Amino acid sequence: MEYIKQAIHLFLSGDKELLQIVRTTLTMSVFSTVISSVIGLPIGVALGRAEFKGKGIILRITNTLMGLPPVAAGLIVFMLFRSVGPLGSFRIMFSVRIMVVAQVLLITPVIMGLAASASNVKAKSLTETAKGIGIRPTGQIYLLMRECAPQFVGIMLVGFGRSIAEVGAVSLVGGNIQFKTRVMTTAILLETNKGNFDTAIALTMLLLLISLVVNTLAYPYWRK
Amino acid sequence: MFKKLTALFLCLIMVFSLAACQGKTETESKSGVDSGEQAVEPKKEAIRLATTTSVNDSGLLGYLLPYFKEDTGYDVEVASAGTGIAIGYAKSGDADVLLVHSKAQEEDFIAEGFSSTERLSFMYNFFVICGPSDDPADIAEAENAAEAFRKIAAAGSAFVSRGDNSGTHDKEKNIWESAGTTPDKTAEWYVSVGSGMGDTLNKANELKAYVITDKATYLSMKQSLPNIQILKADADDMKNTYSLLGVNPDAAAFEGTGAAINSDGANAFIEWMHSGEAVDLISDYGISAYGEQLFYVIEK
Repeated sequence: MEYIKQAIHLFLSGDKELLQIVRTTLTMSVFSTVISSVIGLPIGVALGRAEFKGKGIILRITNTLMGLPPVAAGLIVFMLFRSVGPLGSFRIMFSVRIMVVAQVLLITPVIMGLAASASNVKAKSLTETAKGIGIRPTGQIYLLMRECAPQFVGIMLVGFGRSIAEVGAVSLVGGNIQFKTRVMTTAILLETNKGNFDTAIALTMLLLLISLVVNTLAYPYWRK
Repeated sequence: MFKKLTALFLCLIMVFSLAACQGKTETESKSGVDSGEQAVEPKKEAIRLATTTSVNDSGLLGYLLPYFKEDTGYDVEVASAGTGIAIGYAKSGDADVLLVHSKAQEEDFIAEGFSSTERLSFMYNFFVICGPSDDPADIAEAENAAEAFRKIAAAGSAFVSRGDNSGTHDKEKNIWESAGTTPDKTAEWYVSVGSGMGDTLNKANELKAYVITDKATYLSMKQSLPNIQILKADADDMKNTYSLLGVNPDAAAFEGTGAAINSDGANAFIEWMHSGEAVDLISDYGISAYGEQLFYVIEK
């Protein structure tokens, strides 16, 4: 209880550094969730309804990538974008942008895989009806996506949750740089490493509160 | 066909794991008998040493501890982190002895009654300032570290800071203070990474930035740091003093908790580190690996 009080106090104190950390955390999580959803949801739905040879293999690869360890994603992005790496000319090492890149690599398979299994159930009946009245496949995917919209909210929340809770990849590519790329999870790790356990717990409480708020805001759309 | 193969594979795995279990219990019972026969002397409880990354990353402990084990029979579990967390471990009852390097934090630790010993300045080494070889802030010409820092700030050249309350970070803050400038942490050029020495050096290398580091860690990582080199060393404000502190088992904070401090082990370690043998070993360290002495013991 004392820690929750401290967390709220910390947030209300308007500390410049804390505000930056919260802002960076939200920017990173929202952008990576949106980008991953734009990529992952349509592909996932297409995968869910289509029947073709090799679908099993694609689904298995997707499911494997759903369990991709964050540090592995971080390492891949790090090796690609470091200044001597093949994409080094982008010069985005240790920035919020590269953190989003790593997150998209992590979350897109999760969103794809969940969208595929969510749409698979509804796909059969809908495809038959749609075929009957002569709707093209692209139109069918659109209809199916509308049909699955409530599930998508839940899926996006999973993606957001994974993104906001992530520490390994973002500290590897983002560098946990104060006032620039520090996010809540890396700040918690750092405060613990400094021996400031109280601040670390307060930050943890604040992170949980933010997650709770986001989930509460999304809840009505999800249950629809 | 595929299903059959999978089933066969699973069966094989199960057989092997069963076999492995059996093998394990056999060796376990065997070793149990052995230790029963040999248990003349009770096994000494391992010493928990909390220390800074600079001592561990430089390889000094890996080099010393086998000798210590041979002489005293103690195993040492090393938790290597910044001075801040090392002291944090000790305050949580999770360390028996400290080898750290931040005067201010050590003094607080002693004042709070956590130390069983006085602050024993035990050995020192030197910090160096590394940076890109073209030296945009021209610090190679600086008289000391403070002037070098002033030049870096004036030029606005990228500078990577530990930013983790470690001894090295404290040293950096002291130098900024004596330089008479406080870097604006939100400025583009000041990069506070909140990380250990090795990681900080990697980031400085990646960003082609200036960085202050203990010499030992830099030398041990030199091969993987092509973009930076030592630009300023051996100034009188760059000495780095390490202390050995035993944790006080009767500290007020431990009362009524499960904290069990291995004082015997801690004292044995502190005593051994001051022995003639350890002093010689420490003085020799670095000469064979890097061609120069890295740590200097302060004679009591």
